[in-house]
Amino acid sequence: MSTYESPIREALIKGEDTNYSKITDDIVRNTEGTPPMAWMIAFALASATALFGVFCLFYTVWKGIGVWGLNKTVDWAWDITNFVWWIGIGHAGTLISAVLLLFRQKWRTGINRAAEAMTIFAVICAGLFPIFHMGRVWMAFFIFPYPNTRGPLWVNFNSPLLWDVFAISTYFTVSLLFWYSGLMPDFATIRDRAKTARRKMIYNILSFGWVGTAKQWQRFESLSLVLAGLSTPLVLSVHTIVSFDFATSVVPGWHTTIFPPYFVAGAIFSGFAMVQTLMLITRKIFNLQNYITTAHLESMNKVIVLTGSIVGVAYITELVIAWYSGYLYEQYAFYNRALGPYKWAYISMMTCNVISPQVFWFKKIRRSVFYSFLLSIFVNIGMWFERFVIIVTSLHRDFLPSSWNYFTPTWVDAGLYVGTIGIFFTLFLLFARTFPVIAIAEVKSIFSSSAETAKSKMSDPQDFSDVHSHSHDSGHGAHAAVHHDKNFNEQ
Amino acid sequence: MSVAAVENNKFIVGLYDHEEKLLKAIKHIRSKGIEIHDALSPFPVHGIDPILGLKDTRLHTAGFFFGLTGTTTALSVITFISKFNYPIIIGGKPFWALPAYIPVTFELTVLFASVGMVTTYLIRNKLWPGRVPRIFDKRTTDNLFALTFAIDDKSTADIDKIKSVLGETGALEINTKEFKDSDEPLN
Amino acid sequence: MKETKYWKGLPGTEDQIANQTDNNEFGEITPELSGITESISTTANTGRRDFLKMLGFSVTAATIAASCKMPVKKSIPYVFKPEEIIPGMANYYSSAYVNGGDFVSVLVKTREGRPILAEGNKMSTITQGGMHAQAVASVLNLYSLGRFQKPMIDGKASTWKAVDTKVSTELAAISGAGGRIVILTGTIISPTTKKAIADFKTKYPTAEHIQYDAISYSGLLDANQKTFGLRAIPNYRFDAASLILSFGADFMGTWISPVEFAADYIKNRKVSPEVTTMSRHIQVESMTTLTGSNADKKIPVKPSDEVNAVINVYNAIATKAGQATVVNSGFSNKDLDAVAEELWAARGKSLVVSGSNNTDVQCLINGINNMLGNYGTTILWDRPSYQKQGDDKAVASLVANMGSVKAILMAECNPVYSLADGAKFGEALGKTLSIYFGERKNETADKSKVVAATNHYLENWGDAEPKAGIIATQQPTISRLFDTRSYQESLLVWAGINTPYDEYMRANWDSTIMPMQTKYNTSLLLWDNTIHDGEIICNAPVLTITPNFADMAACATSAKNSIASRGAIELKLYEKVGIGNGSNTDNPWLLELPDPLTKCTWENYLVTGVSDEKFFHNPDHKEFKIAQVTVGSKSFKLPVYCLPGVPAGMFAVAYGFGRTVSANKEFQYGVNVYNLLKENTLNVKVELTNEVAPLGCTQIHHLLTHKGLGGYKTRHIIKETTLDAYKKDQASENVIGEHSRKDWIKEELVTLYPGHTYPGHHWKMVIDLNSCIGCAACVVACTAENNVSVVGRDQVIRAREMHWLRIDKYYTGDQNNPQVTFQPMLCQHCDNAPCENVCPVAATNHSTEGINQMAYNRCIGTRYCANNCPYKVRRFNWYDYADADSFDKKYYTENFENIKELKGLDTIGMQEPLTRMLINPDVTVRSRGVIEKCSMCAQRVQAGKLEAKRAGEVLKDGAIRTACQNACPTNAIQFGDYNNKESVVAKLVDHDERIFGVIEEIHTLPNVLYMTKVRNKQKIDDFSFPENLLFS
Repeated sequence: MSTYESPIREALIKGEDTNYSKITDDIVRNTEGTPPMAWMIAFALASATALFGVFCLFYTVWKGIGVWGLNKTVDWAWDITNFVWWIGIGHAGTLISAVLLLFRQKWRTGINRAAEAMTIFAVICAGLFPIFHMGRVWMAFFIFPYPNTRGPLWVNFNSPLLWDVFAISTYFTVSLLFWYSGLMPDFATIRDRAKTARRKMIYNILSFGWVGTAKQWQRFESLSLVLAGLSTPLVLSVHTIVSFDFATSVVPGWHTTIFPPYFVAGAIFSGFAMVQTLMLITRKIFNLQNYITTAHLESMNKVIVLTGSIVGVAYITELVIAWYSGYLYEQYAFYNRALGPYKWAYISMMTCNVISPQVFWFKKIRRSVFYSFLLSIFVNIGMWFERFVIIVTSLHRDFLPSSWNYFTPTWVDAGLYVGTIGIFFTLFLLFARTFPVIAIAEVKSIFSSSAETAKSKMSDPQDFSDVHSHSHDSGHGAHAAVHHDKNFNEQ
Repeated sequence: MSVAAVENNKFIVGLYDHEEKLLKAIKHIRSKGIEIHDALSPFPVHGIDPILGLKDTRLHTAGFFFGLTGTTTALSVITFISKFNYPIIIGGKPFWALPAYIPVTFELTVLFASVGMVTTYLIRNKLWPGRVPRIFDKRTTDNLFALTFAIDDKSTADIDKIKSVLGETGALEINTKEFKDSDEPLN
Repeated sequence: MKETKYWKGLPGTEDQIANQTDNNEFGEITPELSGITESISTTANTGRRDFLKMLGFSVTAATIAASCKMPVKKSIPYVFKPEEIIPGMANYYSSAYVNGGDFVSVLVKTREGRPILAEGNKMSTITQGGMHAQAVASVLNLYSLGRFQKPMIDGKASTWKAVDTKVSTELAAISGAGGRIVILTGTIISPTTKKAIADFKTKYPTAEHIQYDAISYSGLLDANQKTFGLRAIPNYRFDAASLILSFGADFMGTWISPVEFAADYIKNRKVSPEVTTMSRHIQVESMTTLTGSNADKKIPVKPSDEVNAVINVYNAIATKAGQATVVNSGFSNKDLDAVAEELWAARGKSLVVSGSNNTDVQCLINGINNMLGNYGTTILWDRPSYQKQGDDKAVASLVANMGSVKAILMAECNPVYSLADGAKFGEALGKTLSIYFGERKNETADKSKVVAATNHYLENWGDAEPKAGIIATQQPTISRLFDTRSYQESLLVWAGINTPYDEYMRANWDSTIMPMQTKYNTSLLLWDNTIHDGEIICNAPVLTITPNFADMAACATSAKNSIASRGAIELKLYEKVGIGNGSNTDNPWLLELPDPLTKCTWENYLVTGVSDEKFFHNPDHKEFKIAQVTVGSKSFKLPVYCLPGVPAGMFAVAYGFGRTVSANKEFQYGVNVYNLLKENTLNVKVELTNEVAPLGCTQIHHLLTHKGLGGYKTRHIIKETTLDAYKKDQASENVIGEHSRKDWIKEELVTLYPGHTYPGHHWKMVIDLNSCIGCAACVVACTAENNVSVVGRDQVIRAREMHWLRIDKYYTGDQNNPQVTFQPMLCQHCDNAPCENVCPVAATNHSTEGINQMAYNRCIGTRYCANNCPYKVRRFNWYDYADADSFDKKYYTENFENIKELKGLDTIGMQEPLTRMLINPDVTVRSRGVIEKCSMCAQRVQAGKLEAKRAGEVLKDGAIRTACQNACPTNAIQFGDYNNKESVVAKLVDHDERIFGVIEEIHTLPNVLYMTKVRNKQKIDDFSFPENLLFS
């Protein structure tokens, strides 16, 4: 929306001398030439960790789930914890690109591409756990409702796990399409400035032969709008369904109606934190400070402190409702959650998720790169503990005290978790090297309104004053801007 | 804009360095009654459609119907499976327990809608891996905006007129581009 | 070419290609070349062309067959099928489990000639169809890898010929020279064996027979000798007693004849709307026993005070009876005085027993019973029990004079392991001609020169006379697996009698048993019917009883002196239910069976009370502090287990562990405490070390009352009431929330869904908490019937035991003397099963007969069902426990630090061809990565229905019995069709007020229901919350 924007509002694209070709250059440069040393080191570390994770997967399948710390009472622990954690992280990408698009938040353009990539990779990591936590993973195809020769034999549509299958696969597909449809024009950009024929060829294939005619752009906009419209309820549904894994069960501490909203809030929370982490790394490595500005950090941190507080309220609500229910199993479950043998987990969760983000009420800290990074890490840790607390403390002491037990992880549990982090960063680093980490076309589309240079230009008169007649005085201009907006929205 | 029935190979390409200039130019040219073949830009230029006289796309309508297909498919398949083909007692619930089927139905709706739309989008935009497009000017994906005019069947007079009008709109460059045949390799 | 049979390869070794549709494909007619060729020649009018075709085909087939790699099949079809064996149908044979004096009459289930399960024999008047854990597990011993497969001389495999020549020549020489020959056996209750031994003695006059019980009952026997002039155990009638007082006698767990006593005991403990009386049971004991846990009133005292308590009661009764009192014990306990009052009130209908092995104490007990006039009412001399005959003095003198023994033959005992100075005895064995009649590897066999490998009792003929005139029989249920021979037969051979033992026994029956009975008039009838029934009741013997209670005072004094040496801390040696004296400590089923009281497996440990917090373990991490125990000259280290109800100032440790020679290292955890028998265990030293060790406890201590957000609240998982309350209101204590269960069902049990109807059968099970004594026989029976895997100590420590049926134990009341309730917990087969909803592949779903069923080969192992099961009865195959299928054939187990491979566990799981012979063919062996759980013995239900269908009649109630139900000595478990309103189950569910389901409030509609426990006492002890870690 290259409409007028008040000069008071902070520019989203920094730099005195930016123009369209400089934007292209800054962003595409990272995909050309040899990668920076920082990238090399990061990639080496990430891929090594990823390999260890793969080994742990193999080991689990070879020996049996017994290599994990699970027991007859706690049949899920780190596996599903990691699953929910990754899925939650994934959601932020969709939210940034879809919801903020619907809300016409221009600041999203700086980060949506990377955020969406993060979604894809996070969902890949998440997907590993429900698959490999199966005792007989080689029979995993049973979960698909496919016509078979075993007589009428179908899946159970009452099972939240089956809903997960559909939710996660749909979510992955849609995110991928959304992401890629956005990538095509940018690939075309890379193609057209490519030096070698091979590179030209590869990026042309990636760009599906995009040229950017008016009609293409028209359909492009329509598609992104509808996909955004679809992704928004989708992302809500996905985490709602994930929360159903627990909410629809009978286990005290799981069987809670607050879970869907609470999980979604948690997802945004952890997701934004992860985006924060990644963006801070990316802008450092590829010095994109002009496009991922402190303004971006601040907006992100605002969302973090909001969702963090929502999650905090949810924690308190749970306790209150448990007490209010008067139902002894519920009452014990939450007492045990906060003060039982796993209280250390509960405390870590509370500190990282509820208390630490509150410092973002201070503008100074909101805009500080260091604190943003530190706290984004805190939040990621805290959100992991949240899932662990929900899953393990509810399971390890449920109805019959006779079967109460304690869960202790093994090195394989840890290895799998760390491994997925490795896989995630490997993929992300590869992406950052070969794909435009910032949506070039979208950044350009806000350039004339929100770029520092553009803003400075606006103050001096221009030849086609009939289009920009407002630029002489802001009062009238504001009016004209509204008028302008209206026109474009109609079309 | 009118999609040329016969494949044009000769074009005049006018280049601009700002979307606002482009918009103004289009208005001016069309007021002179000159037919614009196409407009190329590095990003979606807002308000270009009416000025170019582009009809609104019907992609979203298609999306709606794709979604509808998803909904019906999901419900009918689940109903067939759990009510007729494979009715088993699960947790004392009735064979057809609608509330439990809502999540899957919703997911399939979204899946069908998005996959369907993207497919349509690619087909209508003539986008597929390995497709070799006609590139009028490489800079149109970087920083320049282009207006193209098909001139295969134009008389030199018309061509000059186009060039002069382009000049009036303050085009950066005015080039003539000729494609040897419809699918020439990337240059 | 019509009606042709094809074969490939050699007949009999591979399957026939059954392309014909007659019943041959069911393998009932076994492939025989003759048969096939015949059928060719008869059914095909073989022209030249046909012949050539046939020739051509067979040659090609043979070539192909020869060229393909044929799988080696371990099963060989019958050449001539025994006519009673129909593949797929079980045959049952009566037999008797006899282990020393331990006797249980069993019915052995065989499939295709393999014994796979021992169940109670309902026709037995002694054990009355009940079982105990060891009897059920005895089948596994048949296939034990510890079994001797050949006779051995000096540890080397040998032949019977060699053994016979060596032994008979040497024996002849020894007896010729007048050298001393000793036959050392456990208690022999078999008349025919006794005769065989007698015959052996006539051949070798210098031979003497000494009987010896590892857990000695000499005290009791000698006391009876003293007071009645008869060295035998009277016929205790727990069913006739209205008041039972036991001084540390675990008569339902380990004492003399637990199954019989349990069955009798429960007879007048069962209450119903019709019968509202029940006996009262008081237990005075140190170490908490299974019996004590079932008592209405338990008085915990230190081991030495058990003696004092007896003296006190004696004096109290004596005063009332106006007889001379004995020495004052100086011990006072007002509960005991109250007990004396009750006893006196119930005189003539009371029964006092003691587990002590002290003659004087037992004399006093006899005195008490005598004063109460219990002889002739609750204690009879009509049919004394022969189940314990050991003689400590004889054994002691034997051990002392081993030097003088030239030859020793040992059977049904393991002296090297179970003697106080077994080691010394072991050395002595090396110096004489030592012959051990043994079935499985053990310490004594290891030390003996000759090992005469004996049969397992299921391969054996035999008889047993547990009680005077009641004679049970053993018959072979499988031909000998190995080159073994029953020791009776060996004795006969060496005695120069060459009739096989079965004929010898038959002859003995004709000559001796026949005249003793009047039921049958021909010996053929007698034999056939007895072998079928498993028991014959002969005339009661005529015994001369000469009561003599003269010197009670002397007894009391010496009894008091026997504890004079007691110190501050005392040690009690006790028998674990399931492990007993240690003769079965190489049986994985029993090792993995959680002890009813401590719920610990695989090893022994130091048990103490909960009065001293410094011994407490962390209930979550299962880390138990290790203590160093010093008893006189001996000392050992064991982890400490704090058991509520054990008095302060004492520790207890179980017999039967610390075996050094057995099939597998895994069977040898723990410490052997037999060597403490000679030490003064009444004065020991116990110091905590700073080490900790894990124990395989399947149930950690937890209360039913917990502090929650709403303060302390109690979970009504078990419901119990008092007899008085029950008399007033049969639904007493049967409440859910504020409502009585009845009202709750009316008012609260509402549902959104119409729910399913179960038109055909609707199976339900009812478990009477009042009858369940927690003996865990059902647990082993379930393991046996359903091929439940043994997972080993390490896996149990990691809480991965596989038992489908477990027995939960809950406490009420003061933690130093709590009330115990046992609750068998198995899949509740909920009609609204939470597990079913969550399975993505519908691998677990509900049958139209109300059974929650598992499709193992559909299960993908998400374990969601296990999480969502409120009863936590679902079990997951973490590893390939049963060697069903996996990439990795080794059975691994891991610690957190290192991965260690327990190859040995191959032999305790169902992984060896020999052990696999035990697998019940009707039940799938579960592969790695699937969930399993109680199926309500679906295979039995199916079999029962088919049987009824075949017989063309309506399925009768009681025709189908589950494995657990069959094993239960107290009939606590009822199973049946709820739709048959005449069935026991339907009647109970519809009309009995004690019926309840566990956590019904979550609306799972369980099909397994329980009945309130009724205690014969004034009030259920108030709950006092112990503020300490153990109960966190």
